[in-house]
Amino acid sequence: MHTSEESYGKDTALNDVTFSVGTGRIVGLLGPNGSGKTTLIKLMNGLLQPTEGEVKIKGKAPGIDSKSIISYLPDKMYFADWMKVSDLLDFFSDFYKDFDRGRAEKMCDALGISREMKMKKLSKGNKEKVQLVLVMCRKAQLYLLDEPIAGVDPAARDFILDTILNNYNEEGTVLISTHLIADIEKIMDEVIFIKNGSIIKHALADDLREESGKSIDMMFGEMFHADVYQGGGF
Amino acid sequence: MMGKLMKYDLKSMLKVIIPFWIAMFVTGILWSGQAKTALLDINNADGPGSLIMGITMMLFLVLITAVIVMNIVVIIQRFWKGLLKEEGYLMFTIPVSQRSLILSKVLSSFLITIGTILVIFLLVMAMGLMHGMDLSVLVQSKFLKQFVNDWGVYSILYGSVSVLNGIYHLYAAMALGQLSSRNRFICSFVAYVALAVLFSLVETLLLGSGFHVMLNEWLYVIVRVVEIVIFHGIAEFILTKHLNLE
Repeated sequence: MHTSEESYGKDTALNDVTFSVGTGRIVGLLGPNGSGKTTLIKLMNGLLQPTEGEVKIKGKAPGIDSKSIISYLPDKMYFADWMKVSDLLDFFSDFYKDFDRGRAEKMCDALGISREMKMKKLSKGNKEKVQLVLVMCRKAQLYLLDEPIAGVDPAARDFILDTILNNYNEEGTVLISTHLIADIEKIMDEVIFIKNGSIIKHALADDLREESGKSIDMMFGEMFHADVYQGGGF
Repeated sequence: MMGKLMKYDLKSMLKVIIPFWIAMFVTGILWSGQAKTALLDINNADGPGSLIMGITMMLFLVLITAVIVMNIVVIIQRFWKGLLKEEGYLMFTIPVSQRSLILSKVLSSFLITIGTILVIFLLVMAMGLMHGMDLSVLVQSKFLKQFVNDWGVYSILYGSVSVLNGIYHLYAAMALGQLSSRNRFICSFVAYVALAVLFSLVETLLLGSGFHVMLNEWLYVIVRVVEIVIFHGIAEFILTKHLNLE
């Protein structure tokens, strides 16, 4: 993936970002709030266009082809309130050839979520679970998960991580953006540190730990410690 | 894919508008029935039957206005909520083009509007029949036959193009309005008015403002179609290149 610049008003959200990741990897996109993680994911999804440069997924600009191979979990609920769980299952079956409806139904049943339930009647936690189930029941080539564990309790966090680990297409790549490193450190194969819209480090997680003798979480803390005291945030 | 998109758009719109159609129809019939009874009684007693009729007509117009307003609200809401708010994160990441997303919303809105027109027509006919209108006289009327022969096709075409134009006008304005990170709704309203002023100026320049110049009636259809193409271009360009989801 390569993009030269993406700007919001006078601020540049991303600047000259180029990276490539192999298949079958879980990649952590790590950076404090406002570092450009969501912008990067939106660019890869085609929800944003770069002001300069280009974005390429498997050699092609984001479009119908890339959208059919990307499974995206945004950091917000994106379902229509009027829909029932069964409507969503129909919707994903209609638009994604790689959607495994049977698996999604089984997972909803295991969670005790009725398919006849309207989305607006579900609790916030169950809405998030349904959204994650739908996204992870696709045999996608690239999963873009934007802050999947932000603001959830430990039990929900474990469910989310287990669902990701047990369901992702092993021939695909999972990109997880987060600033909560400790929780996902154990599942990451690669890490990309992003700061002020630029990638400052991209390496295998094991190599980083070996080189520094520290956990990724500790490295992250040291790397962005100064930012927090200068007005940045975690 | 268009059929699949429309399936969900229509489902969403019909869930809101059908209760209004039913409410309008049932209320209209009930009022009409009550007015008829009251008129008979009052007429027998030499009372002011015209007042009852006047109030009924006024309520009937209020009902029709309410359903037309609701129709417009549904058209706006489906585009606003379905593409420019949180649902946009889903809709713009499914493997379909922005053009298909817009066309699906436009065609669904068009069908809903046709539905509203049909329900109003049926209500008017039902009320007319309740008050003694003779349908056979109406059908055999020379004026009606002449009108259908001379202007039937044109009226349907011009009406359809005008409805599509109205829907596209709303969508282009909302696409422009979402460019603002704050006050999206106000900006959409301003964009709507600005587009209306701009297009009416151009129309006046092209077609003239006076009735003394009799232009070919098809020119009006062509102008509406050109406007539709421009509105679509604006909406598609902005949603493709400058999407600004909240």
